[in-house]
Amino acid sequence: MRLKMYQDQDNRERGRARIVRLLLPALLAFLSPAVAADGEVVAYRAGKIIRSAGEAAAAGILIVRDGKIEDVLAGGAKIPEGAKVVELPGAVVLPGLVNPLSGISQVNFTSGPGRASQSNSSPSDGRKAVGLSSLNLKHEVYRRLGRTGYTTFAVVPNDTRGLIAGQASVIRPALGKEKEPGELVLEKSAYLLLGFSSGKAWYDAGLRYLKKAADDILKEKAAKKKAEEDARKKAEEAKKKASQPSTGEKKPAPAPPAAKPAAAKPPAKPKVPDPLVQLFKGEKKAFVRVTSPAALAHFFAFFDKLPIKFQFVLVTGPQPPEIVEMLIERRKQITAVILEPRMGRIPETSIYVNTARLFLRSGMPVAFVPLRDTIDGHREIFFQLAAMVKSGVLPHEALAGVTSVPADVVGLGAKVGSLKKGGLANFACYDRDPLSGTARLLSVYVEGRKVFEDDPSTGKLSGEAIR
Amino acid sequence: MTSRMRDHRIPALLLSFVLSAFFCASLGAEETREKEKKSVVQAVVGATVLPVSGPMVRRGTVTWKDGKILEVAAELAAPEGALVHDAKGLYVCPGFVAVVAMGVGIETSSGNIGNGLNPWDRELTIALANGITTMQVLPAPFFGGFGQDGPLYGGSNSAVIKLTQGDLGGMLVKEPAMNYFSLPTRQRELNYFLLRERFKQAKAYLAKRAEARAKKATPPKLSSSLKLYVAVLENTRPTIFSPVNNHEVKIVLSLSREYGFDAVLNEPKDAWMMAADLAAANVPVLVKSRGPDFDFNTTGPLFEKGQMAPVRRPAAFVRAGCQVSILPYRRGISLSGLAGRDLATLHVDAAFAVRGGMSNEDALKAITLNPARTLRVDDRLGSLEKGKDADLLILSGHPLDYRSFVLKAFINGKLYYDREKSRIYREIPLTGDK
Repeated sequence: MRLKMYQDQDNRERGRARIVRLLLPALLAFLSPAVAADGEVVAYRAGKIIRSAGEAAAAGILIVRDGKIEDVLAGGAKIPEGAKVVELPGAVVLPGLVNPLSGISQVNFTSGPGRASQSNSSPSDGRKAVGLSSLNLKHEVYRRLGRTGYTTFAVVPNDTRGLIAGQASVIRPALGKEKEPGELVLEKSAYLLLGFSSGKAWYDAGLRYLKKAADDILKEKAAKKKAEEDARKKAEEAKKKASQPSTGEKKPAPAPPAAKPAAAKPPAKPKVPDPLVQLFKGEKKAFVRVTSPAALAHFFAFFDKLPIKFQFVLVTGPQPPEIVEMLIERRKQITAVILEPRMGRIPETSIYVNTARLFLRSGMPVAFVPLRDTIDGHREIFFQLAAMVKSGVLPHEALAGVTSVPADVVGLGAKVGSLKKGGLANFACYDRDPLSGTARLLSVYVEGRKVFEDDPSTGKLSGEAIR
Repeated sequence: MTSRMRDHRIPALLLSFVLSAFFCASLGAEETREKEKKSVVQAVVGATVLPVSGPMVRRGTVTWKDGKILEVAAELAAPEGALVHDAKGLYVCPGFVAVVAMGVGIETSSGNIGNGLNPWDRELTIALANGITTMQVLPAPFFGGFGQDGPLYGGSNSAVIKLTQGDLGGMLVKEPAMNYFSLPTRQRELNYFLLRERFKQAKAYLAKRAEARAKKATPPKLSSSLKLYVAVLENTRPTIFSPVNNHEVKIVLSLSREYGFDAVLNEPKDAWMMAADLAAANVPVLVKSRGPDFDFNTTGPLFEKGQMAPVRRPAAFVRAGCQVSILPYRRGISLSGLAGRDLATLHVDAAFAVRGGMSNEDALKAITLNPARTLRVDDRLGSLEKGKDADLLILSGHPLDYRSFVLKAFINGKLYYDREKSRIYREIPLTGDK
């Protein structure tokens, strides 16, 4: 009897909570300027704005229209007339964070990308797989992405164990109204992810895929050159013939059309461009994931044998100084390094070494990915970065490692990674310096829309994106 | 030595010094590096040279260029412009060759070893620091951690590698190095019976193939199960057997004689009794100078004759004229358990053989030239001779003295180990004769 009474009470409470839960979003939508009307200008006045990593924080006003930053004004500047003003007093506004390599959209992807292992036995060829295809909008994770402070994610396809893991798609957190995964996408194919480990299987597959692609290009080039030469010879012959009998200048004209049919044939072929071919032609960015020192040695031995070289972003784990030295000598090929914010160890000792610092001191751009590829892992990023700063990475380097550098490496530096004119209005507000251990994430805006709010007066988090 | 090593655990204060020293260490070495790059003649001067292939040379000089030895002579002045390593009062000998090593310098345990080599392997560094410059490496067995004491696993791949630390380029010498048979320990008689049957089939196949080739026809198809046996009969590399008693040794000898392939005996436990037969058949043996002194597998006449202590066995083989390679007590490198019983102390194992009656020269040979011959790389390795690879060690004392440390190790003429820069060994003080 008594038990039933309690149950009833419970149910009643649950019902009440349900009503509140249903009404709350409506309430919030009513109270807050979470969604700005089309063409409306909103001015966010903040205590401190860090426009991009490396710049000093200063009071400022962000002018946002249609989800894009129209202007960034100084603190005392006049707000344009007709603009809706949102006060963010005492907040430190950062560009929304960018994750250059994530599998967060996937099930069972909990280990960090730097540590994910490749399977030795079956290097798969996933060159056609795109990160976008593995998105499942029904999953709540896309709405929760916003609560991490990250506003841009480059997501790789589901199975990334193979030699050619696939192409990454860059997405933003969901606002809750999307019908198709495509709506989240900023860039469908940002880069091609390749993964190498040592061992026979990948070595053979590497020869099969990469070397073949490079050889094909060379063959194609040679054929083209030959065709051109033939055409030129024909033209010359025609010229000679033309010049001998008369001085008429119109005659050489038919020669170029003779060359054209040879050149006109290829356009019939191309269907979907092969990403590997694009890679060797420099039309596609590449991320190469090689974790162990041995695999690095083998990868470069293999890479040096390729007839055509390509530039890539290296995704790796913590490495001892001698390996870092070796990698820095490869500066021509490696454009940036993606690391997890953790310490490496000098072999045979218990001495810890900050790999990121070694890279940064020699001028290599470093982007950081969270230790765990989960929502919580992303929320903890500044704790991990603070540890990096404690052991030698400069604060602005740490900040650049999660904003401007990853934005650049995925090729979206103009849109995300910093707060500038014409960029997307993606920003995160903290209550103090985010690298201080006590900083609290107050709110996150994606394209001018608030996706997360932490109300310090009540201490309640808005659990999911505000709809 | 063990306790000494333990006493000298690096204090925490020193660690920070080590760290800072590490980052500044490269400054002084610039010049040396440049000279090494320019293929300058290098010379070790004033050392006691043990060339292995000849008598000891006092106040000797060894010169080399482009990875090959130019000269080994006494009282020879280094040529002008040479990069000179002063070794007054020190010893120079060829780099040690470990005839069998397991799981060192490789990252993957399956497939092709050449593609799974790990030049950054920690164990490789330790082996190099202890004078091993070349080894025949096999994947580590899956079971038993570092239980490299077990039988050699059959059918596995092996490769001869140089311990060029951090440098993949010069690492692989040859692969595969030897033929290994997978023989279950039970019903061994049956195994050898089957072995002979297989050899008959392989021989028949080879005859057919030769016939086809003479007619320029397509050769008959080779079944995968027969591949290894054909490889043995082709005799492009030696075949290793691990007989457990003398009966099996006799079978191996007769097979080798009948089918004309080179056999190598791995730890033939009681074969010291028939060492003269092995010498006559020119079959090299791999033996330990330390090991269990009582073997429960022994049967028959052994109990009547008594056993020979492991320490005396290598010397017994040498006296009979056998080509002996010393195996360490364990074939890998372990950083746990008892120290001084693995590849890291190969030279100590050779010293044990001296204790059992071998001469110094033979003992040194048993960890340099003999294993190189067994692995068929003696045209390049194993001794200090003109034209051979410049794989040599500068040691603080005689290589068979347990107090000696490797100060520098050169492979292909390049310095790959320098005690001064070693993170492990530089902390241990040198204690030679006073």
